[in-house]
Amino acid sequence: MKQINRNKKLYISWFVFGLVFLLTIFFTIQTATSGAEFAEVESVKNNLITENKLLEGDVIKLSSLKNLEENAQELGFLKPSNIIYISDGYDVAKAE
Amino acid sequence: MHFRLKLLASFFLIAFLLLIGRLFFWQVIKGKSLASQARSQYQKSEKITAPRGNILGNDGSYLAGREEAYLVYAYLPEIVEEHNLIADKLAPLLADGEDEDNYKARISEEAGRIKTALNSDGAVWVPLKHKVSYEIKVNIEALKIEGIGFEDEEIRVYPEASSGAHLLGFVGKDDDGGDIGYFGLEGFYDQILSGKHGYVSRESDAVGLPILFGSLREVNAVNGVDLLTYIDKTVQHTVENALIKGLEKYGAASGTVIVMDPKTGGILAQASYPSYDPSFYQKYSDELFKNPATSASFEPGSVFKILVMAGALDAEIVKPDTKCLVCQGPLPVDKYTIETWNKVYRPDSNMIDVIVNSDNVGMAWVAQELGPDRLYDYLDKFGIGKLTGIDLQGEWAPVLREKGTWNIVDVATAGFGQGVAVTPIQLIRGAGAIANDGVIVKPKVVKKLEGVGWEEEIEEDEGERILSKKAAEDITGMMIEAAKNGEAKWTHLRGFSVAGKTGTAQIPIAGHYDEEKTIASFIGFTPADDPKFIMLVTLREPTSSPWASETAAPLWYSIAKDLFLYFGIQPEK
Repeated sequence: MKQINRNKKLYISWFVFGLVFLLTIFFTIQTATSGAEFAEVESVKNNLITENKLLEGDVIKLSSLKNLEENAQELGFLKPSNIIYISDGYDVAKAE
Repeated sequence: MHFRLKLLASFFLIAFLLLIGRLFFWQVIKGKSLASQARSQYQKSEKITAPRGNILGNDGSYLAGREEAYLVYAYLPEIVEEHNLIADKLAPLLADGEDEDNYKARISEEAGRIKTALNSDGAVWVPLKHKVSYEIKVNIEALKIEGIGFEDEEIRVYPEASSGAHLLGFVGKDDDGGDIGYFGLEGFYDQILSGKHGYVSRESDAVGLPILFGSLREVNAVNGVDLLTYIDKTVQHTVENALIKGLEKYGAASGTVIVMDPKTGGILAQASYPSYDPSFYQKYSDELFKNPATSASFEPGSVFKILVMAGALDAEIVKPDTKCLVCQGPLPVDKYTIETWNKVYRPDSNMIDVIVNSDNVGMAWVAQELGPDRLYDYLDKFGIGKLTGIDLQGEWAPVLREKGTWNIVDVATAGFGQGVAVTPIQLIRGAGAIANDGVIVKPKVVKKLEGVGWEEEIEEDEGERILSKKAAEDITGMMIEAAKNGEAKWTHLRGFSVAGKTGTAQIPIAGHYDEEKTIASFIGFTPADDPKFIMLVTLREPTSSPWASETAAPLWYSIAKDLFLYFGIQPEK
């Protein structure tokens, strides 16, 4: 009975040792590869930041009133040359 | 046997000493440089660039922004190709200018510059070119040159080019080659806009990948803060275009227009010409960088009369219907004689007539009645002789003659705006107090600071009452009459409630006034009873006519016509 208990303890010790050994290997590999994953995530983040900045640059250029005015002129828009203010109750167009 | 043992012992001793010597060499003599080489292999450090804050119009659109740019550098230990070959490859991409005629010369000059940089003695890391665009970076990357790398930078962009250049200022270089704001908002708010760069330093493995459980030191960058301004891009655009056309039409040497909200002191627009493009500030003369609105002084002439008259009304020295007792002819003062601008004299003039007809004699009399000390006190209250405190770098204020030193000639001439100097911003601030029911406020450009996840309103200036409400109403009434029936009445827009005053000032030169050259101004606010804006137009040396009524006034109304529509100001009848 005593012999069986000793063997059991030995097996458990070997199992724990083996588990720790395997876990160590697993985590070492994980740590090594996660550095690469981290670098990849960081590179994606940087690309997104760059893209964001480029888009912001486009917004700046496109929202320029100077550009809008040039485009409006190309499209044939004209500035009103004469503005007429109409009083309340004044008939603008009247059907006879 | 004994000898052989001794020989062996000596051999070990010599070997030991050599080993010690070698260790001393590596550990002590070469220790520092080897440690630094080792650190550079297992430790990666990077600067985290703090983006400069944007300058935004009142609708949140961009007045100044940032664009992605890069520093191209060479890390010499990693360079494999010949330096000359690299220089020849990079030169077409990095050469400045677009001049096709000198293309070859430009490329060869750039290649020479790159070669010199790459061949510098003892250098390890060599910057090749700053502020390179993203497109050029992509093209260089496509060349796959080992040892050539990039660092983040940014370019300041001004989407409206020279529009509002004097308000915005520009970003130049400091002594260390870093970005720094000069003039205008860029200069005044440089620290807030700049933010603070950070850095990250961490351990990396043999192929340069980060070791997650290695040491990490990181100082986050503090982003620059955005400035939300009072500047209305539409008003700014309208003013710029009108001013350029006005300068051409009236043949003026230069001009300035300021549009301000008299209730808050917020600057809605300011344009001055000649101007410069802040993106290419290097191409312009330094003289153009100064903002004429805040740093160029001039004798204001008749527009100044409204301040003196407002003071006299507030002090109850005169009332609008007070008769001028000396307006029947030229007024002798000491050894001088004061005349009206058109040599026409109206003996029955009251104070309204004095302002409407811009009567120098009448105003000299009002100033004399007010007396030197009270005149000084009112000018001081209007902020004449003092900085307005506007949030633009480079403001300057001409000195006002000290209290107690004014003689009778000084008092009389100050009554019609001669012998005193003001800047356009001082003048519009002072007149703004009339438009704001007698309360003077500090002019300002920035309304709010906006950071990442926070914002802070610039403290509202409640202003200071310098005139009674009654005095402000009376002088406003006089200005309405002046706009309707004064010398600029021909350009008045019928139906609109405008309170305005013209001013044609002579230019002092070497102890006397220039006979021909003038500075023409018109200041006015509208609607007179509840102003949406106050605007000052000044034209220096107009050649089509020396008179403000024929130059500055029509320009004021041509701008106001567009602004009426924009602000929804309707005619009264």
